[in-house]
Amino acid sequence: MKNKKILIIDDGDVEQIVDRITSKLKRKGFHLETDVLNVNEVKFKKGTAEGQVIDFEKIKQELQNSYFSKRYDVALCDFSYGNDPLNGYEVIKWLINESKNKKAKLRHSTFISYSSEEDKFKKEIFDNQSLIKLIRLDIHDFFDRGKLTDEVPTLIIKKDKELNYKLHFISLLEQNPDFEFENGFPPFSGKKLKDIAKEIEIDSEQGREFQKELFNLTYAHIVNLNKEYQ
Amino acid sequence: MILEKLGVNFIANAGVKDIVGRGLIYNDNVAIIELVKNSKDANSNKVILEFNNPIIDASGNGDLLEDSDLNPEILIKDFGLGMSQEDITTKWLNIAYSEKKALTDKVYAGNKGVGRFSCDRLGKHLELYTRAKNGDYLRLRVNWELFENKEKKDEISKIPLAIEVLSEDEFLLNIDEKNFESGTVLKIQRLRSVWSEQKFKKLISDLEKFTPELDSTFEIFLNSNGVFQDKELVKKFNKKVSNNILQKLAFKTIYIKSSITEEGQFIETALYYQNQQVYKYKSENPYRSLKNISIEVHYLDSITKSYFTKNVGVASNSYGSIFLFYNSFRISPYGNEKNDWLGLDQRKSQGTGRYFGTRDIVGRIDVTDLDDSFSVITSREGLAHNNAYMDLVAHDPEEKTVLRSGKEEYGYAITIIRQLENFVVKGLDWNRLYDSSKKLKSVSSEDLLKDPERIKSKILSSALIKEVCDKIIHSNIDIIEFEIDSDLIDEIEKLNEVKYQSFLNDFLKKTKDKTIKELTKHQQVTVKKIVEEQNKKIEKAQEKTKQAEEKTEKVTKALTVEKKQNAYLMATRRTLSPDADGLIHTIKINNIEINEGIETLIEGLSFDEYTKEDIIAKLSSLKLYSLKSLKMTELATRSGFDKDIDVRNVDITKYVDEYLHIYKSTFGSNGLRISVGKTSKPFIKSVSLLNFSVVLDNLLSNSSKWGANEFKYSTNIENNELNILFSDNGDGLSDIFLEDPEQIFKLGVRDEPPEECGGSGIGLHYTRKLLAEMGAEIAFVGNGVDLKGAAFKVVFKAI
Repeated sequence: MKNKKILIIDDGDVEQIVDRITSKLKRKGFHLETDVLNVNEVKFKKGTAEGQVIDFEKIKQELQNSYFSKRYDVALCDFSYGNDPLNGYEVIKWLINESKNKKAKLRHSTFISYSSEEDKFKKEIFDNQSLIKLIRLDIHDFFDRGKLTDEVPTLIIKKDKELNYKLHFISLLEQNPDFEFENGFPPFSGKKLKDIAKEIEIDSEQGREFQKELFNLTYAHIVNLNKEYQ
Repeated sequence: MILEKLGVNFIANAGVKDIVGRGLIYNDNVAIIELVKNSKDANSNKVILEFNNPIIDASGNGDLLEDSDLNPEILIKDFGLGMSQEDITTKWLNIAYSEKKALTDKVYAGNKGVGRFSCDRLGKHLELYTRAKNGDYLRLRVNWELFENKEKKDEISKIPLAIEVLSEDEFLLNIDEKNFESGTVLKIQRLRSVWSEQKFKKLISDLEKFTPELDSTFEIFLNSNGVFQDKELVKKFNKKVSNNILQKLAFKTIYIKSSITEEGQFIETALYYQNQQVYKYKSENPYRSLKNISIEVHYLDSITKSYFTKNVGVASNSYGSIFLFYNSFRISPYGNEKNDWLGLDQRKSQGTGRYFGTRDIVGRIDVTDLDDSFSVITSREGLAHNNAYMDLVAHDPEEKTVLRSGKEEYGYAITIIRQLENFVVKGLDWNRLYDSSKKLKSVSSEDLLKDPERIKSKILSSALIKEVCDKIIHSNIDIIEFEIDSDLIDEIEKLNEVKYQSFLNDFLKKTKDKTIKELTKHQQVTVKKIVEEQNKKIEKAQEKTKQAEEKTEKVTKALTVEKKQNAYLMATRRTLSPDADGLIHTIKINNIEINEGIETLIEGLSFDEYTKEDIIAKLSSLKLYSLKSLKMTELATRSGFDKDIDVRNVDITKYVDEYLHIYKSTFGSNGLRISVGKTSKPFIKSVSLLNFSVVLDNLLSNSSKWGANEFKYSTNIENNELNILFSDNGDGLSDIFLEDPEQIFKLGVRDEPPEECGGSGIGLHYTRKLLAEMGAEIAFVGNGVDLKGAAFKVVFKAI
């Protein structure tokens, strides 16, 4: 079974949706783990003159403390939170930008916005001239809530077929985190594989050089292996 | 084979003082600034520059110095660390030694170790007075002429100097201070040049440009006992040197501000029109070597230039253009008059379009360089042309810098200046009357009256401004966020309209009593211009009307079609009240859950994945959703909807009371009578009122099924927990469960009531589940505990 992980940020119940997605993926050979952040929990609320509303700062805190350090294949964010002034577009916008700024593991997710009220989403984007921002944010797609249980499994299966060299390499390194690297790239001599994984994760200069060097070595090795057949 | 070996070493001729000193410090202002830098680096919080007995001669005739009895001198006083004898011997007298190079934990303005020779530049004789904290009062006298015109064999180290230890009184007398804890005073005498008023103005101008804002940790005071003719100059002496010209300009100019963040990740840029932001954007920083940099550039049209001259005292052209500040100190000669370090004038002369030259802009670039990305050239001619420098100012189309993406682009400063240029040239400079022969940069109404044929007006287009902004978005910069203030653009357009109207009114006032024939030829042409202008406006208005009519026609047609096609439904969403909106939202979510649950069940059954227990569990949770949906429709008629379904803090006791009394009539056909026992103080807890309502419904429903016609509740608070006892006067719990009453909370467990049909056996299961979500528990306490039937206790845990 291949392991996959998703994050859902919603203001209501998603139990049945999660259940169905999990069952569908299980039949396709994937084990799905889901984290759900319900923005309507009391701990995320604050009192105002108009009553209780979602406190965005608390949501941000929670996301940073509990979710930024995790790697998700897909991160889904509900757009509409009922009559609350906050909407999911603000949340996903912040999530994408902040995770990129902080080079959090979560930034590698495929980000999806969804809603049962597509027209409200469109209004938010076009009325506020946010189209350019939306494009730049690189949100992968917008799903209708009623079609999540079809779209999400399809997306996960499709993404599984794509190869992300960097993430694949990081996952290999993380399999043997305390193994010490000695030969092949002097700047990393003495470092543990988990530290090297971190360099690649944060996209440091040395991390990039190391990856280049590996490609060079791989190429050289392939050529070497096949020399006698030329 | 080595035949002989002779030991030798470098020797320094006395003339080296000229090479590293006067040879490198190429003018007096640079010398003064070097010495001021030294004061700052010595941790002094201020420096006092005194020009005593200046010879102010308009011709700047050097001969006057030799004949004068005035003995002009320059004093530079700082109150920093000062020096001990050892400091003087091993550091100050050590040519090219700079302690600042060794200490890397502080940002230093100068670090070349040659600043001391600035004294030589300024005068032939130096008296250095210095005192380290709690140290001796020391004086070192240097006659620079002793080092000049020397023979080949005269080494600099052989010319004797002496450090004198003075008494406190003599020390203070010489430096004209009442006390002196620590610091250094340089007294430069037998000045090498005459300090004319013009020279002073230039010095003040350089000092004012010296640091971006002379920060509160370091101040420069300028004193003199000279008598000046120029009143503006008089105002500048015997006070602190200040520079806030860019702040003052902000209210008058179009300017752009941009900065690269400390870590070098982002660029944030904003463009302002008379201090109001027109647009701003944030982008990834594509420049590899740049971080911690800020740029501010102001466009000067003819009006703002005259404002500038009035405020600064020099014409903007003489003041300079774009200055560079490196670690808070200005790097000369960048930005000086006629210095074209950014290639602006070169481009202006080549281009056919309207480009900025050095005379069109003023501003500054601040570089805080803690990593030594940049390198200051020893000869003080600026910065070495390394990668960081190119990233900052590459302006030659053949020699662009390479971005992180691998693409080539102009330097950061150039890009920002060109954005301002684009805005001014394309977007804005056409917002007023302009001279078609390009002789006049700005046009007043008198100019128009003098030669109206030449004067034309253009219409501002906010579309043009937006086009400018689009150009930025599609450039090599990776934009993350972009905001444009359309209202401001419209406002600018209106302002121009106001200006035009005011000119028109002026003109009409002047000519109101005249007939067309009585007008002068020029006035007649002006009338013609006005009529043309008015015609333009009429055309514009007619165009707008036509567009509006076309739009209305389209919309009307569409509506008619829609009305024909859609007898029952509108294509666009109706606007609902917030309550109705909230209701729709929640019902949708709920029913999507139901739908998904059913689909999962169907799929699970078809794949043979479910046991009987699984199916019951699934169906019971689906039933809960459908109960909630029904409950929502009831609650919607009673109160503000969102408030009821949201998880919020409520007084549980009060809610139970209200709910039971209002909703009792909706349950069962027996009409349960509600009675109330002892009740407690308020107990606030965060609960979902919708879920709690479903729980209460279930308890009432069970009582009703098991023959009760009275339902009683009482509450009390104990150990910070709210206990609610629900009891009825029905048949009580069946005997089969009395031994193990926990069974009744399991799914599917049920019994048949004597006279009624039983339920599905899932009610108490989800009642317990919903209460658990609220941090509460339910348990059967017995039959006949209060009323004669079953009694259940619900406990809400501490707040």
